[in-house]
Amino acid sequence: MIRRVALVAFASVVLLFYIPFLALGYYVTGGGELKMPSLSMVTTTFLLAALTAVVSIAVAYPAAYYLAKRGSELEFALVTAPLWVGTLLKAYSLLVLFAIVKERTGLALWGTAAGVLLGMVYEYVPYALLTLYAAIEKLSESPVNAARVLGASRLQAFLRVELPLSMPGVAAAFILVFLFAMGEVIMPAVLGAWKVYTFGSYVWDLYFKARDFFSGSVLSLILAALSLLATYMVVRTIRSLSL
Amino acid sequence: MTPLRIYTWVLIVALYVPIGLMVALSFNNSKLPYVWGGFTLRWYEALFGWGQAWQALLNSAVIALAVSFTATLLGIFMAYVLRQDKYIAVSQVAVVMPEVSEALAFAAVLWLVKTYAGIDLFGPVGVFLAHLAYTLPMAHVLLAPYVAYVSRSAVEAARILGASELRTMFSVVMPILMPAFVATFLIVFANSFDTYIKTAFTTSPGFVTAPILLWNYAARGRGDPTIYALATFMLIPSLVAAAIYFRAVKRYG
Repeated sequence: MIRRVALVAFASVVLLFYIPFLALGYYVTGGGELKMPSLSMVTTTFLLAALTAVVSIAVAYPAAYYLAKRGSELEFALVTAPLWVGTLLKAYSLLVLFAIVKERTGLALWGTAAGVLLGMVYEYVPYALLTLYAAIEKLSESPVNAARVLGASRLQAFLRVELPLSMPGVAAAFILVFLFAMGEVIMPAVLGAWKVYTFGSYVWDLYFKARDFFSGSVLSLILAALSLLATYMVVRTIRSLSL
Repeated sequence: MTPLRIYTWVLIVALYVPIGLMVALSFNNSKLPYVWGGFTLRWYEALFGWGQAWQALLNSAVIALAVSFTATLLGIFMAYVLRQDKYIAVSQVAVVMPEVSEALAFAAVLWLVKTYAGIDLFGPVGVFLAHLAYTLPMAHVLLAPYVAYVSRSAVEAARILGASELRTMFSVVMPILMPAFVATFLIVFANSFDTYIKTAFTTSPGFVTAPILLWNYAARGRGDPTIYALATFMLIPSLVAAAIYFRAVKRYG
């Protein structure tokens, strides 16, 4: 009985989540003229996603390290709570902040790539932090202690022992954030004012403006395939972590 | 460790500044965000008088409630029975799938149903199904770690004492998983309430949810402070969820 309910639930995951991708396949086989995104847009998307991942990891790493070693429950809760807030709300609050920044300092962030980058970092820092935290927390203390006993300074022990050991976590965080950022629609649309055009916005426009299911389906499937590949890589790096 | 601690706190503050600022400005008696015109509730009065906003908040709440209840309840069964890695992996992949791909796929299905079966599901039904599609695997993944707290001996004891399988589920397993159920319910609720992309692809012009309404303004610029008040209202589920979540999860120690 319980098993049956569980299997029905599982079947609905497959039915509701995975079967729709077959509908994309249907539109792909239907054929049509493929409107490929321009190269500059693909480059923008890649650069923006890669930068988002690098900056998020750089910002999150020290905090993740601290939380994994000495952090209190409250600090951990405060850092992860922003995950509960929707992307659109975050984008909108940054829009307001950007208006204030512009008035006070003359620095225009709205409609620029820097503004979009800032928004995406704001959104993905907690994701990067959680991934890094999970990796750093699992590290054993003994290699560091060994390094310290053998005369390494605290900094040396960190740079030459702990940092390399936490690299699989860094890789996992990079792939995760990069992937989310690749398909991002809201931040470029709201903070980029449609001037910073990315892959996500393109798929969006293909559906809402051009009603071009063929091109949209092809690009969505490419994005989905990339995501599958990346997930597989994350799972593999995290497994190798526990070895 | 002290510098790292200070750094962490600076980061925490930075994470809350934009949202906090927006909330503060929803009480600002000036249309300009960089001028503080004193405390006022007039934007909230405007919001209360704005029928469309209420309808949108209500629509979002109803969808989120239905979605979170269904997804969490089914998720418990899934997490309890389907513990093997292969099942969790299926849900895991769904969780990290890029939103646009997923939303377009769902819209494609709804189009096919509309074209070939003549049934137009765009609107509340489409939104409900699209939200269920992504929250079900999410609930599964979130609940999976907690089923380890249901000990085999407790379940076997109940069975030996004559409880049926279903009775065991409701009287033994469910109470142990209750805090996890509450936590997951809240996360799913906040998520469904706030989500924009999946809703946009599956709704009809007649069914407006709170994020859709906010987007209509946000994609064009700031709008007036009534929108800040709307956004502040939309924060409530997330804040409540976050506050209760940590307490609920703590019970597993």
